[in-house]
Parts: sequence; structure tokens; C-alpha cells
Amino acid sequence: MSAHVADPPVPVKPDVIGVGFLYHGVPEFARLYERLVEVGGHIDLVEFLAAHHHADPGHLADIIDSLGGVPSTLHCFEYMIGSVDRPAAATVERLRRMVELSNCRYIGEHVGVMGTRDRYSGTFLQPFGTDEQTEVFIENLKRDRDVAGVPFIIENQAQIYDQVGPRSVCEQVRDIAEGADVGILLSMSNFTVAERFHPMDRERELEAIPLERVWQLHIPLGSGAELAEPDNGRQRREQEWAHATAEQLFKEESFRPVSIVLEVQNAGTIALATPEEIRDGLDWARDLLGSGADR
Amino acid sequence: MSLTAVQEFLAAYLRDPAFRDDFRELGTEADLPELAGLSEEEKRLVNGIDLADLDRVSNAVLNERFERTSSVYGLFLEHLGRYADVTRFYQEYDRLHTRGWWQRRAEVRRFEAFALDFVVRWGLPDHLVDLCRFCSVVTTVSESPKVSVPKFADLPGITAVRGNYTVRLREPFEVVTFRHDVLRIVNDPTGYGADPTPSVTGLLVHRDWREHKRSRVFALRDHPVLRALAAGPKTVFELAAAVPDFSYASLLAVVADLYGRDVVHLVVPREVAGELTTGTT
Repeated sequence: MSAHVADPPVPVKPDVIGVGFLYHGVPEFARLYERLVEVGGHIDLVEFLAAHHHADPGHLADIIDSLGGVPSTLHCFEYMIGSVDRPAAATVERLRRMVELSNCRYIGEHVGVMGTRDRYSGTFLQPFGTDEQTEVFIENLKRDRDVAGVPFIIENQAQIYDQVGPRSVCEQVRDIAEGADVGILLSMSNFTVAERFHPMDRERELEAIPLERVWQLHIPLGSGAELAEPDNGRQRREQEWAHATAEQLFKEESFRPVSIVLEVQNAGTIALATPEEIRDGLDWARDLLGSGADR
Repeated sequence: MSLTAVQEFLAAYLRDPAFRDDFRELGTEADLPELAGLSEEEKRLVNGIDLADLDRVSNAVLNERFERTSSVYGLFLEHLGRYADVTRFYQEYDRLHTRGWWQRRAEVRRFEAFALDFVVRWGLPDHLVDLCRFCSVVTTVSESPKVSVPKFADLPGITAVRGNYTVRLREPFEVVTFRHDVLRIVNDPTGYGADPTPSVTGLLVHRDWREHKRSRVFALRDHPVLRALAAGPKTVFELAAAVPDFSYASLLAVVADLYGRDVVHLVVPREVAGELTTGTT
């Protein structure tokens, strides 16, 4: 068992921020945003992948300027919250700089194991659901909360092998969130990803999530034209499931996220959703958020 | 803490084909360094994992790495495919580097070193090495942050290029020399034969200040002004001496064009900088 880390102040869930999309660090997304505005769409926040910006963190400030100064959330794995190893000081400093430059409100970290500092696993590995592994997440989050500059929230990952230890994927997310007193990023997409490796009992897993702790939803929004193709039937059904499940969750009294982020390049598709599709998707998501705020 | 051994095991299984083969044959009792720290309870948990699940993930990891690599080296891999099995090339590369993280610069350095080794080992055409290096330098320049504007540069009062303004290439950029005419290969991929004659070529790879993660490439033999500036900042007067074939009128026009396209800074003399901060001349 690790040495106890004194509990730092607990972050407070912010007021509703709004809806946006995951912005990849390539010029295509700058053009996409311009076209979105042209067709009458707008965003309330933006999500960045930290991995896209390590070489040039300063560019985040340029992007935020181009988006009208909206708040952001940083999505990363570099804090290695599941690893016994800790990230290099230079990595943490770079992440802090990204937070400062991007009007960041909170960081979305992965409930996954990335390997050790010396040996990268190549992906967000499903952690063992043991007491020891869960405690590592909790202690790392408590410790890193002081250095990150903004609150952490934690994202459920795809299951890739049989449950190991007493906790399922989402039961572990619950225990980590409650143990470290952090919010949750509920990813609908990662249930879909699991289908390629180890399908999950989605109903059981969603029941394990403490809905009052969900700060953000990740919802897929792929190209309608591609999803309509006969070969993409499974992906189309998965997106329909994700949207229907989100609508159902918003009927729960305790479910009050502050943001929804659309993943506009659905896993496995090549084409981005069109600006019109994104505009309409953002409006739908905004209505959902509003339905929660109206309670 | 033995949990480190669990994480080491999982990472090794996903990334190292040789470790996977040994583990499948011998299990947790294999005499492998990655298993040395596992407790008996952890061995029990590891042995409960269906290796077919992990094999699917290791395949996905391999493909993910290949996609990332292809986004940088697509041009090189396309040409390599005319002479060698790209899948085999890539699998060898992956087997050689089973541990480190995939930061872009680290992968670039690993890949370009491996590419040269592969080309030499299999006696492949050596213009492939230049194509690999070209991909490396375009990527690293494109993804490097812009260097801050020097003092007294690009002032709002500048309305024309003056002789005593210092012309300075915006950064980052790199000047790279190749054995082959890489731009000719890029622009005419099918016409470049299996045994092309070396034609030493110097290129300026220049970060585009208007578009993120993009660069422009100039053949220095075709751009004498840029060639002179790549050697260091120069006033227009000094440039005129460096490129004597240009009339002053032509030189001023070229510099104005480069300035207009954000390829260069114009740095005014400190004595007149104050007049140009507000547009008063």
C-alpha cells in the first residue's frame, strides 16, 4: 500500500459550460470551424488532445483566439494516472503550459494503463480491477491535482480482456471517482470500441456509474453519408445507441453534466461529419444539456 | 511495488513479439525479466487472461503505429514498395523498437536510422534514403513552434521595402542537402527510374506561418535570394551584393513578395523604428 497523500481541496463541479467538439490539431479543423460558423453553428467549448500539441503548445492559444476565446478541456493520458511510474517533470510542465494557454477548465484523463515510463504499451490498457491498482489511480489523482492547475475528470475505457480482479471497468471508474473525489467523463464511444475486443455488458456498466459525478459526455457524430453505406451498418447502429442512451440518461434526476463533446470523426470512418451535421448535433446536445439544467 | 511488474508485463506482451512468443510457450514460469517481479497472486491473475484478447490488442497497436508512421513517411513507403515488402520493412522496424514512447521526434529519429540500415542491408536504391530524410525534415519543421518576431520587425508603419531594412527568414526552417533531386522525385514519382543518377540538391524547408503544421519547400538553386538569406539575415544592400544578377528593382520586388507571404521578417534600423510603430514616416 502506498504512503497516504494528504487530501488537497476538492474541486467543485462547475456550472454548465455547454457543447463543443473534439478539435484535432490539423489545419482541416480550422477550416471545419469556419464552415460551421458559416452555416450558423457555434460552440461553447472545445476539447483538445494533449498528444497533438506537445511540439508546439503555443499554438493552442492561436486556436482559442480563432474560436472566439471559448473555454476548453484538455484530453490526455500523459499524467499516467494508472501507472506506478510517474511522468517526467518536463512532460508535466508542458501539460501545465497547455492548460494555461488554452483557457482550460478541466483535464480529462484516462482510466487506463499506459505502461511504464520506460515501456509504452501503445494504447489505453484496461487496468486490473484490483484494490492495489485502484489505489494507485486514487493516490496519483490526489497528488497530481496540486500540479495540474485545473481539476481532473476520469474517462471510462474500452474493455479489452476478461475482468481481472473484483471490479469491472465502470465499477473501477466509480471507486476511483469516489476515492479521489473527481468527476467522470462518460464515453459512449468506448463501449463501441470494446466491441472489437471484448464486448461489455453496457447496461450493467452504466448502472455502476455514479451519474451525479458525470461532468462531461463524449458522443460520436460521424459522417452521415458514410454511416448510411451498407457496409457501415454496425457503426450506424452504434451511433444511434449512443445518442439514444444519452437521451435516456438525461431523464435521470441525478444526471447533470456540464458539457457534451461530440467526436466528429467517428472511429473507423474516414470522413468528418459535415458542418451542417455538426451544427445540428451541437443544437441537439445543447437541448439535452438544457433539459438537465431545467430540472 | 510489484504492480509495476504487471504493467511491465502487459506493455511487453503488446509491444514485443519475441516476448509474446516466449510467454505463449512458457507462461508465467518463463525466465523472462518482465515476469521477475510478479507476485504469486499476480501470476494467477495474469494466467486468467485470454491471450487471444491481448493478441487482438497487440495487432491493433501495431496497426496504429503503422498509421502514425505512414502519416509522416507515406511518400517514402510508397517508393519503398516498388523495391521491397513494406509490411516486412515495417514489422522489422517495430521489432527493433519495442519499448519507447511514440513522441513524434523520437519516432522520426528511430525510423530514419532504421530506413538507412534497411536500404544498405538489402542493396536498395539509395534515393530512398533521401526520400525518408525529406519526410523527416518536412515533419519536424512543420511541427516546430514559430520563433518569436525579432525586435523592430514587421512594424505597422512599413509601407515599402527599404535598402537598410534587414531581411530575415522567419523561423523555423532548415537547409538540407540531398544526394538526389528530391523535388523531382516528389513531382514526378513514376518517371524516376530504378537507378537514378545522384544530383546533389539543397532545399530550404520553411515552416508556413499562415497554416499550422505545414511547410513550404524551395530548391535553393532556383531561389538565390533565399539561398543568401539561409546563410543569415542581410540588409537589402547586402543582399544586392550577394545576388549581383538581380537589379535593385527586381530585388526589392522579390523581398516585398517574400514579406507579403510571411516568408521573411523586415527589421528596421533602430534609429527609425519609433517613426514606424504608428505608421508615421
